[in-house]
Amino acid sequence: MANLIVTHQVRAEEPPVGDINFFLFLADSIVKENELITPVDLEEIEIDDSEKVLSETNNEEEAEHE
Amino acid sequence: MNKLPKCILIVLISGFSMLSHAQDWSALSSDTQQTLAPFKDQWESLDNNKQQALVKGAKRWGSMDKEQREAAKQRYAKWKKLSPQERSKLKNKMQRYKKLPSQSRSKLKKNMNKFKRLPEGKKQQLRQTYKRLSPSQKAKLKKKLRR
Repeated sequence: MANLIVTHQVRAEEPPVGDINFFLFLADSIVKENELITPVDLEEIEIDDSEKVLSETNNEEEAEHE
Repeated sequence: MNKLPKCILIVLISGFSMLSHAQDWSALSSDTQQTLAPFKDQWESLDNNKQQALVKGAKRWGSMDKEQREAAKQRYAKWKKLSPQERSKLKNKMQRYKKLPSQSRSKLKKNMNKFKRLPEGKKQQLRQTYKRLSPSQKAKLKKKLRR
């Protein structure tokens, strides 16, 4: 039983075996201040040439504070 | 061509040969070799750019903690479900994101995280609201967010 648990734990930390695209995906990603940012994370945002964003969250928040 | 100083020619030639020369499997660190072991047989046939990207990906994997690895796998699962067009769009966006000044990236990341923490219903509502904005309203909003 203990062996089974250990095996499971190790597998959770293994990369998808044999999937070359997984490593290419990782190479495209960034890890900054312990946070992983992958292309998928940018799905919801807009980036201008000069800067950035979607996130009306800010607006929303500002409206709530007003 | 003959007018180019010899030292410049040497730099150009050595630079070119570094770029075009494939990365030898035996030159990889043992950790990288272990991570990339499933691709050992095809390594020689991969172009240099792909080899470099794989090494970068393997090193990144090696530096990640358990939580980050799990997050990476989950996001990759989502990535696989996207169409080639959507992937290419996001890759392009990622390139632009990487080029942003770090201050803009931090702001963006902060907003991104705020958005992620919202309940799904709220996110949907915001997506719809944003979609309905005119280009000038979107520009105005972006300007406001930059401040």
